[in-house]
Amino acid sequence: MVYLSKFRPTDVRPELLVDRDDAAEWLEHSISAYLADRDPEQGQGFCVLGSKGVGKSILTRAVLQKLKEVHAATTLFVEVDCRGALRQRKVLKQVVEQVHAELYKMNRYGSPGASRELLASAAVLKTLASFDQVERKTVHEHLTEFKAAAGADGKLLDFIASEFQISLRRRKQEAIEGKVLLDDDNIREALLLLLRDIRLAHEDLDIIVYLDNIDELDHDAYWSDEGRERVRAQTLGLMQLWRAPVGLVLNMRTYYSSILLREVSKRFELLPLDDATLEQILARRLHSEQRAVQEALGNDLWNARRSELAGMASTPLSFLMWFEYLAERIKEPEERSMAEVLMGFARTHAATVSQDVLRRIAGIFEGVEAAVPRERLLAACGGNEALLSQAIRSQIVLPLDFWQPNEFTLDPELHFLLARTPDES
Amino acid sequence: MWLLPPSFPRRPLRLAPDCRALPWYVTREEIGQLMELLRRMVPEIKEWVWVPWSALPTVGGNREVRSGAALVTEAPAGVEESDARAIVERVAWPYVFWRPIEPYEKEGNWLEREVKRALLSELRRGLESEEHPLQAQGIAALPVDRAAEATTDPVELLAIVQEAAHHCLRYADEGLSARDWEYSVRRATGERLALRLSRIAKEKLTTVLELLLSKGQRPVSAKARAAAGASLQSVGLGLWVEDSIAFGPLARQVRDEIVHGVLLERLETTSWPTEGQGQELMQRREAPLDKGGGGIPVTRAAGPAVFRFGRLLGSTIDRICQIPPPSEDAGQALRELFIQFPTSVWDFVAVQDDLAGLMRRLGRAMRMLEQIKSKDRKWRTIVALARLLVKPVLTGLPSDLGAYLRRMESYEKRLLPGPDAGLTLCVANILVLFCASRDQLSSLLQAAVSRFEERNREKRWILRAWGELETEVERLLGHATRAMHRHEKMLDGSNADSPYLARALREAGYSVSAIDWLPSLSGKIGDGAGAWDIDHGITKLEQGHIERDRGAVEQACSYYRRAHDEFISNGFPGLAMYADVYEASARVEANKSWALEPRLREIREIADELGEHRLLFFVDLVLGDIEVLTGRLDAALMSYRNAYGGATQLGDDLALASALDKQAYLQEVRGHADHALVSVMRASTLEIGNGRHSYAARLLERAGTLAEQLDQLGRARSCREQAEQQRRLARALAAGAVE
Repeated sequence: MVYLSKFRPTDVRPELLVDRDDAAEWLEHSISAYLADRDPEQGQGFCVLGSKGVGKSILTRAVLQKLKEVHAATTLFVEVDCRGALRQRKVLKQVVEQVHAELYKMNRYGSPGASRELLASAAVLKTLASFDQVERKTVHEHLTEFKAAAGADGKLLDFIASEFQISLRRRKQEAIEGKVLLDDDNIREALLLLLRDIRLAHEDLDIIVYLDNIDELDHDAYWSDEGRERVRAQTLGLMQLWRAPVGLVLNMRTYYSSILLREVSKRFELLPLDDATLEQILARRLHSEQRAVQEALGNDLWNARRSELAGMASTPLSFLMWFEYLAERIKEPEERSMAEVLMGFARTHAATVSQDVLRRIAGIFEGVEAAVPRERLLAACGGNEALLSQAIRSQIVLPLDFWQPNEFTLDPELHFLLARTPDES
Repeated sequence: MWLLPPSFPRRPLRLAPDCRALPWYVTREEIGQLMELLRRMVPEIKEWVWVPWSALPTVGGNREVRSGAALVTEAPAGVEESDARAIVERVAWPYVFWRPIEPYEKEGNWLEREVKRALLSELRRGLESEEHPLQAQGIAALPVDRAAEATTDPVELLAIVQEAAHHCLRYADEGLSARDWEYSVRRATGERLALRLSRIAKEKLTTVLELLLSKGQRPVSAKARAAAGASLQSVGLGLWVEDSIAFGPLARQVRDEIVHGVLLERLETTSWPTEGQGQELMQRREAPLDKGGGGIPVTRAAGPAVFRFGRLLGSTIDRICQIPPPSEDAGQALRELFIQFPTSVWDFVAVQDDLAGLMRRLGRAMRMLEQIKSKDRKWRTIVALARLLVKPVLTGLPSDLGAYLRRMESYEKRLLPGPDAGLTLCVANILVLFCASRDQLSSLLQAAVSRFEERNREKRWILRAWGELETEVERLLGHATRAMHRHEKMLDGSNADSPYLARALREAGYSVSAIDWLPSLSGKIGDGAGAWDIDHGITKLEQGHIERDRGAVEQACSYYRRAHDEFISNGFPGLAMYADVYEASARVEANKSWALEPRLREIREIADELGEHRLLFFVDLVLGDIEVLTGRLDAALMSYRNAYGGATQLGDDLALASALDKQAYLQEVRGHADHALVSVMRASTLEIGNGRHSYAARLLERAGTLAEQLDQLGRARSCREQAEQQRRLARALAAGAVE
């Protein structure tokens, strides 16, 4: 048994990216082309699609990292992980906060266009975004310190003044009574204006907004019509950011993509990697482990195991998870196949569903790409709605289309269940 | 969290800021434990605060949240799910953890997929570390994965693992194997399941158990079923959707016999469920457990002692009573005393059940006798004899039984000249019933042997009676072969001794030969002049034993029940309890049923109260068997230990061998082949010493198998050779036994 110290299957540090040259080149060129386009009114949407754990985040991060090295002085790079945010408001708030932070940095380094006034405008919106409903007087008190924003050009302050009756340019005699409602739509519109103001502040100033895991905004919402409608509204709200003059980079699972607006026309779907690449990914990640660990996992036996695992895995994430599981458990000699040993993975890592049900469910999938209708899944669960519900809730199966969950695929982490022994096949 | 190493976590958990629902069924204490766990595992969470729901609008909306702080809250009862969700979604803190008041579909699986997985890896690494303080006790063998299969909740995982470690370490002095650690994990899982079940209202628990155990013995309305499903869901043990149930991982563990056993224990030690039906449900297991290794060893010990000389005693007492008393009062007092004595000592229950009353009556009768002053030598002898007679009841067995019997005999012969000394003979036989230790039995044996040596001067039947006492004592000491040979020597052509000879033969391992001596099989029971009521029951018992040895369990049980009825109708309730225990034992050994456990517990209580050690020994062994079969290995260990202690006190070698045999079985079940081997060898030594070669041969075969196992495991040197030697010896013994 070997315990890994630094290895993390979910690690998405850009330096761990292996291969994906085509996708990286596409994304890099697309964003670079957008940055080269000087039309201050024009935004652009990019979307990286792929199944769970295929490597969308690491790819995008690696590309953005590379672009930062070139464009950091003139471009605001905003990255928000939407996972579990539930509401667009949280994402919008984080975007505003990061825009403010980026502007603050640029202002300190004297980047062109990142003026004190613009920074104050961002601070104003950041403040407003933290309220839902608030006394106008209170807002004014909070905004007092951002008086500098009054000197900023642009449309944000006008919007705030007209929509919320909050003016930084007010005279003392003006009444500031009553409450102000700062709902999601208002905040989003204000953000769009802020982004536009930034873009217009200087011809060299650009913005890239990267929303990762947008499909996990509220993943479990797909179980009900009501939930799907709720999350659809939230996702569409976020995608309105395409209207801002920014490069909007979205990452989402393929099954979520039917919601994509046609304006997000630049899309790239990541396909499964071949076995050799998976092994390279593993090798890269093991590189930072201690020499003893590398040696223990680098012998012929383990090389053969890696190959066997790679042959079963459809995504790097599942491959790495399986490898870690096995490394921590296999006692030599091990005569069972890797698929057999991985049954323990299902028992401990997906304990919610019984092994029996898991096998029956896996048994109806013809292959890693196969989808089966809900009725067949229900039949595999012996007609027991509760068992099916348990399998869905624990993500043993994932919807083929988030928005029309009538067909399901098997979670890639459980694809080893599809490995048939010669007898079974 | 005491089991977590100081270096925990070696790899911090990356948990993205999020609003996460906690399981609806966890307690505040468990939430606190989870948050402490997260505080240690997630670098971004440096502290957590518990915010009342009503304060969320004020606290949760704060714009400047202290970096690293997580907000924890719980929805109050009565808040709609959508409203609750809307409120927590507005909380601006990066880490929000909230507990819905009822099952909430968005609870999701973040706890299992993110936290539990990381914790599992950390736990495994920590326990397998050479630096772990419990490394010497073998904590690396604790199967953390087995615990992880039972739960999705990291706090529960930690609780199970810690409880398992705590449990297993209690037996560290016996040496811990991987199977012990696994057993402890299963046991801790059962404790956890019992804890969750205990949160269900008692009135619903019976239906819940029916649902959980898939037992539909009694009609349950759809409404009650739905209520039970909802109850299971409310404590996180299942998901109830459209009239169907999906059990969670912890609930599914009930299929494990150890977990099942723990639940059974909890049913006994708690008041749930109130109707008692839960107990029935838990005990009605459909499939017997297969422990391998050839099944539970047969329960063997010398059967109960019986007193068969009532008529002799009666006639002797009559003769004494015919001696003219000095006064009417004196005659009355004497009759009073003798009325108590012979009728009371026939059966230990009759004696002991009302021991205080008996002692009171005997004491009163003795005082009356003592008060009567007379210079009549005969009368004084009678009083002295009576004093001796009541001594065992009033003050316990004399330390020197030989001297006691000699004195009694001399008094008796003064009153009833002649060589018979029937009263002394009867008292000697009665004393067997009072012997509760090896020393007492040995002392009695010595007295009987020395008395028997004088046989040339006595009547034949008197000699036989003394010889029979000697035989009985030998048998009770577990020297079955010697007892058998003595019996054979005493054969006089009558049937009177047949059941007892059959018993001696069977106890010595010659069941087949014993059949020939069972009078009922040849239709002779009751024909002999010496036949007594008690013989009928004893015969049935023996027939039951023989059927049992043949593997005909139902027939055996039928005989045991008939024996029970015979004993009851003839006034031997104590012996009837033996019949009950034999029946339970036969059923358990055949893996048929252990529904008789409550009756056994009841018998145990009575035997314990009365100090009836032989019956107690039997019951302890059978209870131990049931406990092994139902996965309660701790309880089984305790029962077998009690039985071993009882056998040691009884001085019954047969019982000792049987207790060791059972202990070896349990040790094998627990994975201690080395300990099992030692116990088996000790048992075989006892069997060889007592000439029971067929049993010894079986034990040695088993020892050979165990030695081979150890050899394969590399845990004992030269075991293969040892195994071969034992097998050879076993074959030789078996051959000798057949001859």
